[in-house]
Amino acid sequence: MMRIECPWCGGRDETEFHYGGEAHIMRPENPDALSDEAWADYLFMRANPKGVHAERWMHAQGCRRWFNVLRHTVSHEVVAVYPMGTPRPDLPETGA
Amino acid sequence: MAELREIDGLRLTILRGGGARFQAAVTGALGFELPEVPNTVAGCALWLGPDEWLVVSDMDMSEALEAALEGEHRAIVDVSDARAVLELSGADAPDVLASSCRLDLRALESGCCAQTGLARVPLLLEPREGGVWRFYVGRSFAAYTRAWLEDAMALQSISASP
Repeated sequence: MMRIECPWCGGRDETEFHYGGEAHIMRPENPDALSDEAWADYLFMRANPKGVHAERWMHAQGCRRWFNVLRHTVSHEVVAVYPMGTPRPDLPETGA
Repeated sequence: MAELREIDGLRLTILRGGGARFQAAVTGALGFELPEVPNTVAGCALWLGPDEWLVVSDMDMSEALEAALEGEHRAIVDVSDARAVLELSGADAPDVLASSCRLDLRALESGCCAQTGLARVPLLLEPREGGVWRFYVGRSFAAYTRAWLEDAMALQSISASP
């Protein structure tokens, strides 16, 4: 069971949250100008790292607010929690 | 010992909005300031989100709020019929709750509230004076929540007996 630190409600079990996929995916300003490849890249292609992944979560059984999480995909360690609309924070030096 | 009862007749209103003028208008209508600190209670308003509160009263507050907030960006929804209100009391109430609620209940005191899950049911939990735990739960979940808590109370009384 993962523990996620909701920015409003504090630490809760992962079963209280909904996962919202990869964070920081911007809709292109002008989709009509894109090639099919570039549009498909926006629609379907997602990062799948073995390591720290930026993703969106929503506290469904709590305040129902969305926020971003940096999660390590191997250890499930939640490295950082930060608000929607802010850039991905630099990783702290862990030496891991 | 723990005791469970359902509270009828409370009027519940969800209030959404924000900003200084919104706060001032609500303070004028309700007579107290809405809680800004997450997961706290002020007056008869419970914090639900950074722009969302639950106003609990014996009478319908939605008309007074609508009048006070006319022209402001707001949402005022009467959810009295959508929510059931249960109260669990007694010395064993925290143990009964802990059977299916994963929150650290010792960290919750009166004046706080918490939205969490109880046996997978989303609910709003409000510890009140005198060791009373009040839940606001979706009406359609009320029978299930009652059954679950009554079962937990039965198990608690067995395990507590010598």
